[in-house]
Amino acid sequence: MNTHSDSGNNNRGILTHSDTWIGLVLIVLGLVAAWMANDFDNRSRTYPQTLSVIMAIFGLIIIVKAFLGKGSHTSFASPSKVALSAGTIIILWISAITNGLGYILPTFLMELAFLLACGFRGVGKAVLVALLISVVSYLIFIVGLDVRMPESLAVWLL
Amino acid sequence: MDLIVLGFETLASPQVTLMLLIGVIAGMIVGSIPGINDNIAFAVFIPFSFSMPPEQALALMVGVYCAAATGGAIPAIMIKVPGTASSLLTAIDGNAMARKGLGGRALSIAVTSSVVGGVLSSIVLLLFAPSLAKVALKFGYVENFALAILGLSSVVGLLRGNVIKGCVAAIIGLSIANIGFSQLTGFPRYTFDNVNLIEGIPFVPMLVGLFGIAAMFELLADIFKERKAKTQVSKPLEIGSMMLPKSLILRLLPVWMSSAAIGNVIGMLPGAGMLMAIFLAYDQAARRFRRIFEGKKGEPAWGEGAPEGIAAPEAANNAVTASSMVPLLSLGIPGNSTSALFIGALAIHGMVPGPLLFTQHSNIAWMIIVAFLAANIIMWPVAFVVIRTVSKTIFAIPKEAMVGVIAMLCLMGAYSDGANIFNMWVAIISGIVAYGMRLSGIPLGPAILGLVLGSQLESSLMNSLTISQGNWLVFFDFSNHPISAVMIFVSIALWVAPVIMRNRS
Repeated sequence: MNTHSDSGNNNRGILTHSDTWIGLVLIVLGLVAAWMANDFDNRSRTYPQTLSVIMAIFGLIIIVKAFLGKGSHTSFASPSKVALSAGTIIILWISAITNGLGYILPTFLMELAFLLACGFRGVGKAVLVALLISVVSYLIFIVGLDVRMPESLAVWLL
Repeated sequence: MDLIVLGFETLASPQVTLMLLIGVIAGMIVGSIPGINDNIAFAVFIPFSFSMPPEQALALMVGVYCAAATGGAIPAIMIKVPGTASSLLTAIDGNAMARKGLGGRALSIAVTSSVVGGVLSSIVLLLFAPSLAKVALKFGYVENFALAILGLSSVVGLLRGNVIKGCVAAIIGLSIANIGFSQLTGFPRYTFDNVNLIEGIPFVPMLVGLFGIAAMFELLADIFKERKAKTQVSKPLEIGSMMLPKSLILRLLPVWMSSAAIGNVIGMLPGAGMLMAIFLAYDQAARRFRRIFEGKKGEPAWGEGAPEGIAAPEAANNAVTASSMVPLLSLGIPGNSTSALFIGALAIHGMVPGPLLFTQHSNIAWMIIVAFLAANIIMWPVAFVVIRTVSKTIFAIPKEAMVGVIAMLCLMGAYSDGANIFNMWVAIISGIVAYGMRLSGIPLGPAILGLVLGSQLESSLMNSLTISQGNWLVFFDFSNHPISAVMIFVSIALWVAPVIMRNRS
């Protein structure tokens, strides 16, 4: 079920190995969660604290494996760009909807942004496709399924 | 026997049969839209049933319930975005097969497996419903804990190579399940004083993000790669022929039988849910595939287009739909969240599920049971028509447009579950986390199972130890808790067997 590709890791320095950073994240998360569990009451503390400590231990094991050359390195450079661009578009969409711009306008802009980012040919065609997707999804979710969206600033902002 | 005939007679009325057919068609279409899971599909149709007589309304609900689980396999195979949570494992081998030009075959395997699993389960439900409920009653805290351990151990069999990262995934899932009120004491854990986290991270939006948003990121990454290489963005996958060779049907028969049996048993247990059934069935199919087929000429590796990888989860998930009605109809206890919605559907028409349903409304109770059988049979031709018409249109959308459509469907699907903006944030953050996990080689499967089983594991463990006065051997006690003892030993075997076999080879 693993989908990442192993890309030659034996000569990679420990600090540049992705497994080192993954292990560090797990250690930090585990220790922070275990520390936060100290504030829980006695009966509900043990289980989450135990899991957190186990998570930190596994993080350490992953770092040790990377040090011994048994880890598998993945570059995060280009996937980061993907996550950043898509994430930014989506966050702007959520913010627009939350701040009363309605549904159709933010969705149209989001769809247009994705189409242009993916290199869809023809700006005019992209505008039409974005508009179509926005209107059809409005009819399905808002009209058909009666999903209540946050109130918009003006009545005409559907 | 008279009662079964009564059920058939009630179903045979033209209006009731029509409602069943409409439910199957609508459930299949709604289930095939990514981001709208089976709970939402089911909940949407409940209001439509207000003005109908109870037989018609419940026939509609049965049709939607059965078909939505199958419909979810369509986008799982064509664009690797499961339409429903129950199709998440189908996406792995299904999409891999579709990328090799065998999309039609993958879809056909999924539909046929769903029908076989559903029909077998319906027959069991028809013949044994009241007596099967007695077995479900024997599951107490000790057995529930053992079942959770068995479920988590089953994914060990799928982890070739990096067991450590698989265990990390399970721990991540179990840890996230701790967010919210403790089931034992009511103490809020990791809620950061946010009212939206009181009941934990909303499950449906999280699943939508883990699969849908993460798949959208992967699709976008593919497109960026193709543009960078200055190759034309590849066209959407074609469906192609949906014929299944006779040899493949014969080959899949044992998988269908075992997966349907697993779905049947798991579906009857309250709280176990579809996800556990599909993981257990998938694990069994993986072991069999690796033993008999892997490495042979012309056979793909597991996870790269193995037919059993589609057949097992699909047969199991549809087997769960019928068997989840066993505890519901007999005892009034829902087998999973969607069957819990059935309680609402029955309540609208003044009926209460449980033993009294069989005495006060026997024609309705048996009609529901018979309707499951009929719905699964009708589903087969309906699925082929829906795939060749509606789905073909949806999946002809160019890849560049699909990215935005998937994002919109997933986010709106997440929002629709409670009309809460917080759910959208959950979806996008879950998507980023899932994408990061995939890149890091941390498998998602054990994390999902950890999420599902987390609260059950803790509460059943603590309550078991309270009852046994701190004695951990209660889980191995053959005389008082034989079911638990067997499950724990099977779990140990699932951990030990791969190690022994690796050392031997």
